[in-house]
Amino acid sequence: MPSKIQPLVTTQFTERSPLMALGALGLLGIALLIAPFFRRQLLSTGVYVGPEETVQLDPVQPRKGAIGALRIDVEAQLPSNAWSVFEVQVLDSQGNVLASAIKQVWNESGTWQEEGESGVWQEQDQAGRFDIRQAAIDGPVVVAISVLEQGSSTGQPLDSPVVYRVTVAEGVIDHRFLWSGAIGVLLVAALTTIAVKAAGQTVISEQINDSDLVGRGTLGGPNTLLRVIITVVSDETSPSKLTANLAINDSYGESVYRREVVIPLSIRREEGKVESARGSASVDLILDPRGSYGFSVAITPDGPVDHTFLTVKEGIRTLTPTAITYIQPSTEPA
Amino acid sequence: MLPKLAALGAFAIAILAIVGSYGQMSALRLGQQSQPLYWPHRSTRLSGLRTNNTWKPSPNRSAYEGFQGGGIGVGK
Repeated sequence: MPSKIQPLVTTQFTERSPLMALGALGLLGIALLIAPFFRRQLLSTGVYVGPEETVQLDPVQPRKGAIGALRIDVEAQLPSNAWSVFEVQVLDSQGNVLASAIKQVWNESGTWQEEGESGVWQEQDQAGRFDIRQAAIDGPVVVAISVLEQGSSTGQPLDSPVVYRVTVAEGVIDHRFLWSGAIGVLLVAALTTIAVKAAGQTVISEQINDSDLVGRGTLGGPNTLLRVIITVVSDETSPSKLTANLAINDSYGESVYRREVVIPLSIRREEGKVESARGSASVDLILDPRGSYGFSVAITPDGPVDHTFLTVKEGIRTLTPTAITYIQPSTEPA
Repeated sequence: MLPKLAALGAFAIAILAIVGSYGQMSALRLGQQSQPLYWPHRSTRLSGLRTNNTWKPSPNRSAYEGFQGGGIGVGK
């Protein structure tokens, strides 16, 4: 054979964008990992607060800085079947309210019975959280818990004070942005991967209800990656794999490349019986120079073959460095 | 070309997310009249507004009226 044939592994057609997009995910991971180092707890205490009562906690002095927030976490410890509406107030050292937020909390439980089975259930929503951007806080602040109203689920009033566990920390990062960002980055990375996989134009697309077919097209070039995709559908007498004899001819009909490609078959069964089989294999190659080339495929053994499909695409991009075959037909007339 | 732009876009998303989280973009901004970016945690909603340099409890502070707890009994 007068052509120059060289198998090689190349990164010339590798598209690294999906990997780069995933690098952005690494950036978010680092941001998530170092976030705890900025957090410092300033106060952690439990207070009894009765209805229509306000309890002030010790003043806290958050450091100055643009990073993070002053986070006030309040968790009520309600008795069963009770609810409460409380307000978290932030006051300056003179007692003026700087900001406030409301949370409705509840804690309920009961028993259930269904089809002779029974048990107890308990549901609650007892935690509130209030973030204040640290950049604008100057001077000490006082956190106060004010219970606006409370009661029991049956409508009875609830007069006894309830314990509220309060934690105040500074330099707290809002993780919700990082999670949303991670979802966004993953979506972009997935889209990029799909775009890379879909790259390329179909030049030859042939099919036949037999085992032998040919196709011809103008394609190739030194910087164009071609992908020859052979797909076979075969009947119930199929072996586990078939062999495709791929041959490429130049514009004079001279053979420039021959290769046997093994096509593994996946068998489709119905009620335990082999119904049909399908398999696909692809070959990546460069044909230099660009020109008219003929592709012929013959499947052996041909007995079980029902349909054969031949697709040749050019301008393929790959996600990883790929093994390809470089084919340069001899320019001398044969 | 397009995949490369998308990869740059992924980095832009990551940097915006980091600025948003470390700069606490959706936390309450003290001293500001409007809080358009406030994004409540655990449905802890603001109960006031800053007007004329003082914090005024919001008129709908009493909107909790009628709240009788949540859970399975709600909506019956």
